[in-house]
Amino acid sequence: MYFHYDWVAEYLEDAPSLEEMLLILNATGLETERDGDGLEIEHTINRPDAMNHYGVAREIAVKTGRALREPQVFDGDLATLQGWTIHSDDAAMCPQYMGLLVENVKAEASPAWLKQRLEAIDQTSHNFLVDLTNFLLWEFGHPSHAFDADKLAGNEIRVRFATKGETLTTLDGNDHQADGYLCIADAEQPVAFAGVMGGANSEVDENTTRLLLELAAFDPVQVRYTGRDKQIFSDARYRFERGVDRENMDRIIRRFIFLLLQQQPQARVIGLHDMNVAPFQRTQIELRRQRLDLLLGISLPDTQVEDLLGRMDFRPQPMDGGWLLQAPGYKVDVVREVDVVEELIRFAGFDLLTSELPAMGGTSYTEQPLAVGERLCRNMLVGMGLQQAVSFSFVGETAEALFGTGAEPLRLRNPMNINQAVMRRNILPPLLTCVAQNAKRGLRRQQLFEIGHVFQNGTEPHHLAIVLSFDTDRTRWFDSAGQHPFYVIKGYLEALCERLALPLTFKSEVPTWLNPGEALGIYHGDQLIGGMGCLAPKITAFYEFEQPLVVAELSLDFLNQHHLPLPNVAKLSDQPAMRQDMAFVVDQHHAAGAVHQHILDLQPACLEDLELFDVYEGKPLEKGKKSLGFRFHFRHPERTLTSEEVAKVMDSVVESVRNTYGAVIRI
Amino acid sequence: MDLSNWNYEASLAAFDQRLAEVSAENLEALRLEYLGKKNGLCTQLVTALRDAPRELKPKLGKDINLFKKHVEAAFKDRKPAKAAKKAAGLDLTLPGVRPDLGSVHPLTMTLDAMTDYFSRLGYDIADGPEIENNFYNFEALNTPASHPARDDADTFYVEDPSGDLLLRTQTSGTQIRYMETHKPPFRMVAPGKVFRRDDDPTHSPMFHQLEGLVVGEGIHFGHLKGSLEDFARHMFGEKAVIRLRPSYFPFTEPSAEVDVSCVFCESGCRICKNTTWIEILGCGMVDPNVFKAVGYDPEKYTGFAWGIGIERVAMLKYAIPDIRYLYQNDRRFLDQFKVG
Ligand SMILES: [Zn+2]
Repeated sequence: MYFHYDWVAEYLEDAPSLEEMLLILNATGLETERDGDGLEIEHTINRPDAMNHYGVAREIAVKTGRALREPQVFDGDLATLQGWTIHSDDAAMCPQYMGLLVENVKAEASPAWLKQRLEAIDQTSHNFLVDLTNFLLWEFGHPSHAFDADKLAGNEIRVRFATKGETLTTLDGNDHQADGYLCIADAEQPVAFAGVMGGANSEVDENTTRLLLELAAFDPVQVRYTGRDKQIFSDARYRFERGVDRENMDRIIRRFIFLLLQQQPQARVIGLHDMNVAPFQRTQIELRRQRLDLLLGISLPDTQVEDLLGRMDFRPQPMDGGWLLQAPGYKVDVVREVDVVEELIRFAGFDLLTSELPAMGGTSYTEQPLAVGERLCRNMLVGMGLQQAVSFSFVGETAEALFGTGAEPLRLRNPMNINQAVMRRNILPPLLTCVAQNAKRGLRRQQLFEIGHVFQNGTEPHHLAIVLSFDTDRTRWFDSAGQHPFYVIKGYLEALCERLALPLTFKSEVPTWLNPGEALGIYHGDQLIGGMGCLAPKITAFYEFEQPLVVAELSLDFLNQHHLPLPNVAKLSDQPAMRQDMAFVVDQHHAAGAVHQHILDLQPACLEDLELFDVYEGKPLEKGKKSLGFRFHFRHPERTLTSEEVAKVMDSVVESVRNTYGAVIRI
Repeated sequence: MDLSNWNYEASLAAFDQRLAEVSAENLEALRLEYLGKKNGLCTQLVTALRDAPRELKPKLGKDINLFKKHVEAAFKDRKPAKAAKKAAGLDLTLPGVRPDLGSVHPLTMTLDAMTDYFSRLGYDIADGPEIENNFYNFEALNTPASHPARDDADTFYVEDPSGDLLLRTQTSGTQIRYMETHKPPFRMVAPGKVFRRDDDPTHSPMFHQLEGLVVGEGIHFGHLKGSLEDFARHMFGEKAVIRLRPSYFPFTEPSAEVDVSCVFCESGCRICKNTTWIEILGCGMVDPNVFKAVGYDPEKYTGFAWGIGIERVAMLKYAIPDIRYLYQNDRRFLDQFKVG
């Protein structure tokens, strides 16, 4: 909001320079930058008192102790307006409405001084009567409105909610349904949205000679609702929804008369109707010295406290252990003791505060197995060469549906675009969106992982996703000599399980977003918690992936109940190891993992480790056969094994594998 | 060759000396001189032995044979010279065979630096839901429905029958939940994703925050100032100082904005907009209404709270020009965080 320096300075004795003003205002919490010959102030929403030139000057006066120069007002007698009805249906909606009737006025061009004032702050000059209300808004911050009194039916003003079927065309030319909104009405129809904008039907124009000036107070919430629903962003709304100074209304009326008569001495002030169904009363606040010191951690001297309170017009009265205060009308948000404490330190300055670290008892430690587990996962995946990613929690509905389980996703009511319309139930949809975009930029090789919340049935489980995208053509997937990418992703999962001792199992039943036969489901007990491997073809096609890609995605919530096992060190044997290689030729359909597990289940004596070191198909094997090469490591804890002992164990293993799988030993 | 003057011991000593002194490049020549098939000394000795006097032959034959074996063994022991020759054939400038370097996301790096600091000071770390209801995101935080901060323009709402759910605009809801389940004194921080309807080079509809809360008896504004000063030094270096400016937040009173001295300059630069200060966080003393909402006695307990944007700090620290880089997961971007 822009304020002109000269205009602010007009209200101050010994006004500081523009540069000084910048420093003073910033120190009081009004964020101010210099803009030409003025001040650009970014107000926090609690500061309607400083959204006008007088208020900005008052801020400087309080901070620096300078005196204010009060603007001149009409100080003659004011007659009570006769023959007009002014009524508020609900005192809470409109506690006070001042109507001032003036006759023999002219909507002529504004005098030069007024034009200059308004133009200096980028306001357009219309005519003298309208300009005057605008000037008052920028002088004191209380919006007023000028009606052409001849256009108001029945000499009546009624503040009420509009009824069914009532409409209003506002000054900006837009038509609105008024039903249900707080309006100013004459005897027949709404003539303004209360506190938001006047109606075209009662507008001052070049023929206006009788003017009814409105200066009122409205419920800020109602003003906000009207403005929000009708999408009207007016200076009046902006101020009314933050609050106005009820104590200053009488002065504004008199200021209006003063300025009007100065320009148009022939104008006749007929009278003022001050409908005041809920007169303003200052809030009494007790400020306790002990509380003030407790919150600030320092003790401001009595003289400083009283001086500042006095300058702010709190009318401090000493009482036992503190002061009794009357909150001034312009401080609309100061209603409690703590609010006064803020006002005091705001003007006294934060530099006075001490700087200490709190010494506290109590314990803040709570065990957080999920957080610890997640950090371990992250550090380990980074250590294995993956890059941590962060993608959006929301994603396009089409992409998300590909991963869905049929249930409805959680949709946003007001997304910024359709690619951020639903909350993710799986990390992959938004993460793969990034991978696809990067691939189109020529960055095919990506090794990413992400840990974060997903959104399912009102809960937010923590998930882990891994994406390995390779820099080769999909069509040449199997050409290369290396491993099928499936085994690469599986290796990461196996390593993770080993490192964290995760009780996870892998089965061939997979979630729908994976391609059965090239993927595994990840199970925690009987529960499917994720999967790994190649994506379902519909998903590959959706993202237009041309490069091979494998993924994993699983819930990490089981980590909440997971305890990392403590290493429990076994005694190391000094005895020599015996190594024995054995290759079994079996039918292709037998899974290597099954044979491996079968051997382990036999619990061969002194077997320390069993490695599958070779899988071979092709000549000289028969078609339909494969060879599985196992390396057996034997060791006895206390003595050297003899070849005869090992041979005996191997014989029984070979026998069992032969009987179970029809295996033949490959020489 | 005449063997009458040949002496085993002398020849052996002479050979040992020459072998000890020979340079790597002359080693092969020396080997040929002694062991060359046609004209090597050993070959000559064996040839000459045929013409030697009969009575000397047994002794000479034995000596020559021993000499030859010694020479052969000696050259064999010098084999490392051959290995060195092979090593000289390596292009030592070729890159090594190396495992991939992973990288931690810059937002995590930044957040970790913060949470590690607060953990050391005994702060608890709490996680909360990203979808909140009006109570936890607004009402308990002294932000009634009529508050301008509640405008739809800023907040994402979720489609649900109650009309009550939204994407949290701050992690303060986690603090409310924490207060509902914990008794003072305590200190805690709540990191997490937050959402606001905003999208430009410095604003993202999703971003990250860390909020802190300390509640106890006798907690005052000086504690807040001291805590943030110490934190600023941790994050921005020993010389960092802070400045508090009065501000407004619905859930704190008094409230302040905190600027940290610009770490990039001493007299003004582009990043601090020539002010030598950079705005980094908002803070204040917890509003009594917040304590009332969670059933704490505001007469007994006081506390302070603050919130900091992780993106802003990461962007400052790593000179990231566009906030969107942080969520695109472009390898060229992530690769730059293999260091640090
Ligand atoms: Zn700077």
